[in-house]
Amino acid sequence: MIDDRALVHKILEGDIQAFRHLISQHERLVVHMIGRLVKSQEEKEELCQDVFLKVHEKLGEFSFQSRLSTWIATIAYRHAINHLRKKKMFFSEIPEEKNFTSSFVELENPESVVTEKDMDAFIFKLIDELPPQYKAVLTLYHIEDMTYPEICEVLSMQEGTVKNYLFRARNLLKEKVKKYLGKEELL
Amino acid sequence: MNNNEEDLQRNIESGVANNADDLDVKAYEEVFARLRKKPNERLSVGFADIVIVRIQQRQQHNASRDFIWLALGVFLLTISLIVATVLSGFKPSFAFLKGMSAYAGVLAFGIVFILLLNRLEKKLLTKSD
Repeated sequence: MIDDRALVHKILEGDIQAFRHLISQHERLVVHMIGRLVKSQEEKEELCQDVFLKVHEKLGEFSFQSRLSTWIATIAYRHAINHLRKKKMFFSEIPEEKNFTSSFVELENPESVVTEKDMDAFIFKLIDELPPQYKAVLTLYHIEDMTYPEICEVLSMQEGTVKNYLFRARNLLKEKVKKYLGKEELL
Repeated sequence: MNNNEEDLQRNIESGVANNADDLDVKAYEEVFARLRKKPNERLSVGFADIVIVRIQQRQQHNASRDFIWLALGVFLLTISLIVATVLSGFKPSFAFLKGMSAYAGVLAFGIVFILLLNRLEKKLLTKSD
């Protein structure tokens, strides 16, 4: 396995096969980041391509202050967020905790009622309904196994904020699942 | 943050035994199990090829754009030179070359020296990378 420094050096020298290697190493990370924030398969694919184009364009500016994967995740996150902003899709500050928590937990989503039989689909659907910042934190922490400082760097957030979002996101999901489990126990 | 909830999340995450009958614990266990599952997101089979084709197209586009700018710059400079020469009535004289021919050795040394310096600089820059 080629280390990051050697790989970057080869790419900067114009080795296109080395860039192909970089894509295969990091495409899952990029698709996880983009996939959690953008739903359309077509847009997802195009955004992932754009991320790698940007990585190729900016690689000369990468200074090895962090892991290459952290830097690529940062580009992917910013690109997805810019896309959401351009499309004027829901992307704002996290809604006020009390209101959002109660509406999230109480909301009876007809689609979720259909899929509740399948706990996997039910919980994945719930994750989709979370604000983008929560989804990004959950993905980086649970799927990509990133440390708090790495997540802070990717999302440009304070460590306290990252921990708070992680706690709140998991708590929201738990409350909704608990409600469902409670119903199931009554049956 | 609620401290009990925080402890509960920490315990479940680290696999510390909790009261399995507790609905909160059950719900958290379900949530954590799904959070750890890798999403089934896939890109098209030729994804890397498409990216590389787009990079090559962009490089070609940039190269032709640079060439157009260079050609335009050379063209404008030539026009400016002609206009300036005509307006000022300047007559070029190459008499200085005669004077320089007496120092051909110094000139040759200068050219070789600059080329060597350039080569040395490139080598040093590559090493410091």
